[in-house]
Formats: sequence, structure tokens, C-alpha cells
Amino acid sequence: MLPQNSFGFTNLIKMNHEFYLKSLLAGTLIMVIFFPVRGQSQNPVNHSQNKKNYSIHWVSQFPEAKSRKKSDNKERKTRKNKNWFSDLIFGEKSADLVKPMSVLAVNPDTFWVADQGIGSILQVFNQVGEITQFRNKAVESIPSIVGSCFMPNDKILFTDSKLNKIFQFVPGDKELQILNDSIVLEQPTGIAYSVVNKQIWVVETKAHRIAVLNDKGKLIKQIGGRGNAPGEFNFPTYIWIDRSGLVYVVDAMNFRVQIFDKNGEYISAFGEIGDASGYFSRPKGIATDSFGHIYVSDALFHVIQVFDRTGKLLYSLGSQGQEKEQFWMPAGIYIDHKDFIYIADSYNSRVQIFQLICAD
Amino acid sequence: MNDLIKIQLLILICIPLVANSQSVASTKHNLSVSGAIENQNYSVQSMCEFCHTPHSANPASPAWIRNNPGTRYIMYDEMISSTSNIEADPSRQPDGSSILCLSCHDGTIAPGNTNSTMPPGSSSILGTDLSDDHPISFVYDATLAASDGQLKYTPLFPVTLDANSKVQCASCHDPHNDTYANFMVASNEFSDLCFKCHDRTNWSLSSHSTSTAGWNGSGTNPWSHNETSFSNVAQNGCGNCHVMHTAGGKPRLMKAALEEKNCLDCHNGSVASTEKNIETQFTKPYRHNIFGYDQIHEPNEPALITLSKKHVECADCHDPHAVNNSPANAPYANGFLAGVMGIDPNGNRIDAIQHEYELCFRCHSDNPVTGPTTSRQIEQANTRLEFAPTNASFHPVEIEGRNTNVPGLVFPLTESSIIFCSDCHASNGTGAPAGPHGSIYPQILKYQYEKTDNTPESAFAYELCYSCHTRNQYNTETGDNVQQQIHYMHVVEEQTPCNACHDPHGISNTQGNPVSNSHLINFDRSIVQPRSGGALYFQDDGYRSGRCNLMCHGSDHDSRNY
Repeated sequence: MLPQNSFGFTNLIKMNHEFYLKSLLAGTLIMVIFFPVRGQSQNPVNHSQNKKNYSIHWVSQFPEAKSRKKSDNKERKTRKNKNWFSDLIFGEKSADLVKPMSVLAVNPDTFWVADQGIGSILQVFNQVGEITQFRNKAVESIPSIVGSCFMPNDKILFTDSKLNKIFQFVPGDKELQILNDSIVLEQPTGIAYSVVNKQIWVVETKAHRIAVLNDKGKLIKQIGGRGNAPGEFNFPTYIWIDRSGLVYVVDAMNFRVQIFDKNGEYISAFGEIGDASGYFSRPKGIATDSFGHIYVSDALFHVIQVFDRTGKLLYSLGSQGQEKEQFWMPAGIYIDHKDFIYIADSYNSRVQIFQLICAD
Repeated sequence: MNDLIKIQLLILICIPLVANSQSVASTKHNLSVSGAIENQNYSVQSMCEFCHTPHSANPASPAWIRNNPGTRYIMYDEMISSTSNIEADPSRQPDGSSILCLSCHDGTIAPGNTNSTMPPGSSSILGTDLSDDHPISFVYDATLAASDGQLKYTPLFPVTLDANSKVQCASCHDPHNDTYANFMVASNEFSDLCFKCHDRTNWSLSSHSTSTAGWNGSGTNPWSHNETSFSNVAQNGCGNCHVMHTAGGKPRLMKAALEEKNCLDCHNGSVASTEKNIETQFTKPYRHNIFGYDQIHEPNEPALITLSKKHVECADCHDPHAVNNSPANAPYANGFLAGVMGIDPNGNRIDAIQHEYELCFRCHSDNPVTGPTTSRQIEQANTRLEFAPTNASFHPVEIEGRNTNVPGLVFPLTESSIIFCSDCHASNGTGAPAGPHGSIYPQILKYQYEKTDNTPESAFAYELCYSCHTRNQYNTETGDNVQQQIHYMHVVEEQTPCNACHDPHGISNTQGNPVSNSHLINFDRSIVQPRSGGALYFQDDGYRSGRCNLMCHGSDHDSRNY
């Protein structure tokens, strides 16, 4: 099973193929240097009932720790103080994140971050962040950006839960469009694209349902409604669709993850409220790796928990804090086709990147 | 503290929560499925668990980590008696109970973009913060109050701090009780809630605190930024200009990023009365151009403006927290200028001006932002020096004038009158708001003041001068004194403007002297030339008597006297 969205961006992938060799080397080095790790939650995985040894390793973060300053204000460009001349000579300074809500990635050197604090998409290329300054004025501002997903033809979709819109743009083009302006959505948050049937699934949190759209944004059907029965929702938020079309929905205020097939038929659910590992308190982002493990961030535990399809806890990553491998209210998760794991570490104003390594 | 006391404390803490539970049930914070719709088929959820995660789960052991028993996470409502709170970086990270709020209020489950953080140090560096919300998760203590200078030493009830003396969401919001809308702990009408912590000198007397003006429906609603807006200025209080969440002007939580917009949204005829419709004045060609500068003005900037930070904003001349309608006689500053800083006649900073001219000297003195507009025999860009009471002559702005015999002063002016800068420099037009906002005349003059040579005399040409100095003293030859004949000859017959001989501000005693520069004499060099021998001076010969050595209009004045 492959993760979603490995199509597209092929040029960018080619440009960065060297990165994988480097990161593998670096990962090996990190393993050698940093083992054994300090706390129990940071211990690498070395056990599995499938006779596979899974381990999750920290790879990098954006922005790099050394460049992060308190109360930095680089992206505030007033009419007076933008120094175009130094930008021309030294290149544009890298913009920092404020409050990242979701991530989309091709590889650890090429990814996009939906940042609610900035109100735009930040493109990160080789550790240099650039805020996408949308040219046209489809809207005055983007006040409440939440979810994002890749589409075919290098397109990116993202939601704004206050404007009740889905936006689309092609990186580099900077032309912002509203996807089907006539569609009525109630607080759209999580969004995912199903490669299998070319559908856009968008979570309408306030309506406690999922709207399934065709790739032009036309409504095909709605799934769910308020409740706690199978297939019903209570404030669903983030969503993930894997390469095979399986749909994973964080049913936040039912404190569970629900899994649907590509047609929207309910398959299973797991999770319940509690204050201990294996439970949920404020489940946020969700993603799956190429082995089908399900990663769920929790904003009140400040961890990423990894489950199998039955809801059995496999791993718990991180703790509350500002250091490496710590989180402050983690939000969206993205996992690329090489099992690099990207965490929108919202109130640490950064994206942390990990990698799942599997040894037989 | 032993366990028994802890349990008793916990029970005490829980009693008000239980007492409030009825009100939670009917609020938006009851997130339970059963709370929202009738649903008999499924288990009823507790409406408390959404925030108060049940503390009873048995940790699951993560299968990938050998012998790991799992973790019990400390929830924030357990931290009331705990000192193990992980310290947040207050520039970025909310902590304590606020995390509970923000974990839903992030734009997913509930409206979000509450990027509330507090920069280290005092409020003066709020300007470097990315936050557009009122700060939270910072310690509010006497040190903070002292460094801010305008905070109460401890918040007044019902605003509360958490166990670590920090301001949190719950300081202003009671998530269990929506009696006052937006889950406020009390009504914020008249900004009562803001003043539980904040102090503003003079606020209670300020027009913005007392005005009952409402929006008259024209233009856009100036209070649309408030989730709960009231119908008049006094009721909206701080909320007229400030907004606690998602502020447009981040540094001081202003509703708009452009400084002037915060004022003009009401002072454009939509709320403030016609005589305070300032926006139309700023459409005129000569103005204090508040539109020309952005994010330069700082409340704590030096009183004396520096040329590298040259700017003008509404707040440079008006303190919206103190401004009021009280009138004043020159030279005292009226209520419109209450509470603003200035520069005194000696060039020293004063925190709150007493006299109007002190405000003008912020920009028009030692670092003059504008130069002389007439090329004179004696040039002086420092307006403060031009009006110094020790000068040979000056218009009576700081003290009464030197000349004890000024003919033709318009009633009720006398030789001992004192005038304002804004008597001459003000918006033109009948009924225009007071003050030098904008004018159709250069130098933001209230009336026409013709300076070009060969201007036919008329009531209009020198309207500015004639508003104090009666025209019939100058435009008729018949008169009982020499002074009138001299003016008639020059102004009417020779069509020489007043400005050719008189320098309306004054002549600094560092340059001029009482013999040549009495009566505001300082010649316009574009009109008045030296004689062939180089002489160019006026000589005061005493009462209504003097002589000139100069060349003007082709006429050689060889000690020509009167």
C-alpha cells in the first residue's frame, strides 16, 4: 500500500533525489550518535509482532532551531521598511512560521505549510521559506486556514473554516482561485483527495459530515450527520485518504477515528476519551504510512500516537516542550511516499520531520 | 499539605463548577451529541468531558516499545495544585488552562486564529509581536504593573489570574457561563472589564468615554469589528478602536492596521458630529498628511520628532484616551489636545502640554520638518525661536506682544491678547473643525494670505490678516495717522503684500534686533533689494516713526522716513 499523492511534483522529486542518500546517511549517523535516547517515549522502536523492527527518527525541523528568534517579525512588511535592495543582493530572507495547521510534502526539502497565523501557504524549499503572496484578490484575507491537500497537475487545495471556502492554486503561479464558489460548506476543515476515484473529500465540522466533491468541486454526496453511531460524527476535523482509497476521519468530539472505504461505507472505528496513552483527548491531524500504520496527533497530550487498524497503540512520539521531538499542541500530519513524517507543531511555530525506518 | 486537605480543596473548587453546569448545558460549550439533538439510541455523553478529560484511563502499552507501560498525561485541570507546569515561552506558547481553550479554538472545532502570546518585557515592545490577540499566559504581578505604568497592581474581580498568577483565557471568559455573550465573565459595556486591569489617565473625562453619539447609518458600521458592539461611543469604550482578537493593527490591538483609519471610521460624518468630521479636511491639498506614514508613530517616541522618523498621525496631536471638549483661552491647550506631549519654549520635553504651541514645537522647532516658505533677510526654520518672548517682535502666541499700540485690532482683541497657532493655521471654511487638519490655502492657513508681489489689494487677498487687523486701517488713504497712510501707499497703491515687509511669526533675538526688527519687520528678499551701496534695513525711530534703506519696486529708499 502506498501513501497518497505520490503523483505529481516529479520534477521536484528528481531535483532532490540526492537528498535521500544524504538523509539516509544522516539518519544512520543520528542513530549511531544519539542512541540510547534519554526518555522512554523517545526510545527507538525495535520490536514488532510482524517480525519487523520499526523505528521513528527525527530528521529535521523548519525553521532550523538556530534561526528561530523570539517574537521575530520578519514577514511583517510594511510599506516603509521592506528593503528591496538587500533582498536583491542577498536574496529574500527566509520567512518563519507562526501557527502551522497542516503540511503537504514532496520530500523533506520541498514542502508546503498552511499557516493560520500568516494566513497563507508557506513554501519551504531547501530550508528557505517563502510566503505565497497571492496576486489576485479573490478574498481580502485568509483568516482561518486549516486543511490542505495535493491534487493532480501540481495543484494544492486548502480550506478556510471561517470563509467557508476551498481555495486552489498551483505553486509558483500564485493565482488564487475559489474551488466552486457556489458550493455551500459549513466550517470546512480537513480536506483530502482520493486518487482512486478522483474525489475531493472535505470535512464540514459544523455540519458534522463529509462532503464528497468531484475534482471540479461539484458536490457528489454527503456522508454522516451529528451523532455517535457508526458513520455519524461529532465535530469531525482532519481527514486522510490513503493510496488505496481508504478514508480516515478524526471524529474529534467522539474521540475516535472512523475508517471508511472509498465509497464512503463505514468500515471500523477505534479510540475513546481518556488521559493516558492509547486514548484521545484532543485528536487533531491524521495520516498513514506505507505500512498502514495510523498516526494521530493529540493537542492536549502534545504527542503523536501510532495505531494499527484495530486501534492498538503501537508507538507514542514526543512530549510537551520546545525541544527537538517535543510538541506544543501538534496539529496536522503528513506522511510522504518515503515515510517521512511531517508534523505541524502549531504553537512551537515549526514543522518537525521524522522518518519511519523499517528493518526486517 | 496532606491529601485530605487536597481532596477538600478539590471539592470546594468543584462546587461552583457543578453549580454552573446547568448553564453550560445550554451554551455552545455543551458539545455533546445529546446536548444538541434528541438522540435516544446512543449513550449520553457527559458535557464535562470535552474539556475535563476523565482521569481514569489505564495507559496502553505501545507495542513497538518493549516493556513500556504507557503514559498517564497530566491534564490541565489537574494542574491547579501542581507546580509541575511546563514553562511556556510567553512570546509564542500558551500554557495552563488556555491550552484547553485553544485546542478547540484553532479554526477546526471552534473559531480560531487566536494566536495569543505575550512578548517578554513590558507593553512597549508589543510592536514586535506577531500576535493579533490580547496576550495570555504571562505572569501579571507588581513588576509587570510597574513596568507598564498603566496597569492596576492586581486585577479586580471578576477578572482572575490562574494559580501561577498568569492571565489566561479564563481571566476574561467563563467557559461555563454565557450570560454576558462570548462567555465573558462580566459585561464589557463601557469597557468595564478592560478597566479591571488597565488604567488610563483622564479616561473618565474623555469624550470617547462619555459621548453618546451613535452610528447614523452612513458608510460602514464602525463597530463591526466587535463581536458584541453597543450602540454608542461611551458604551463601546475601548472597543471603539481596540479589538481583543484578530486585531488588524497588531502592535496595540487596534482594529485597523492603518493608524488613521481607527479614527476616521467615526470622524467621517458617520458617528462624530459634523464639526468633528475630520476626514473631509484631509482631502484638501494642504494638510498634516496622516495618510503618508505607516507604522512609524510610537506612543513612547521622543517628544521632539527626529527627521529620520518624520511622520504625522492623529495620535501625534490627540490622545484618544484623554481628548475632551473643554474650551481654553490662548495660550492654554483646549480639551482636544489633552494629555499629549510637547516641547516647551526652552526646548525641553513635557509629558502633557499646558499650552497649544508646545504641541506644534514637537515638529516645528529644533528639528524642523518644514523650511521657511519666504526667502527673507533673516531666515529661521526653528519656529520655537521665532516666537521666543525675548525677541524684538513676534505674534503674541506665548506671551502678549511687544507693541502696545496696534491700531485697528478687531474686537475683542487688544494689545494684551494672546492668540493660538491655530488661529492662523487651521482648516479653512465656515464651520470647519478647529485645528490645522487641512486647508485649501498653503501652510494650512485658515484664510487666504497672498504673498506674491503686485497683488491688487482686496478683502480676500489678505483675508487672514484682516481677520484680526481691520481692513479699513489699510485700504483707505484718509486717516488720522501716518501709519495708515504708509500702509495704504504700499499695500493699495504699490500692491505690495503684507508678507513683503512683515514676518508673521517673529524674528529670533539670536538674529534680529529691536531697532531693525520691531513690528515684525523682516523683508522678503524676492521683493525687497538692497540699495546700490548694499544698505538694506529698517530703522525704528520710536512711536509711529521709522525709516527704510532699501530698493523696492524700482524705488530707491534712501532713509525714507515717516
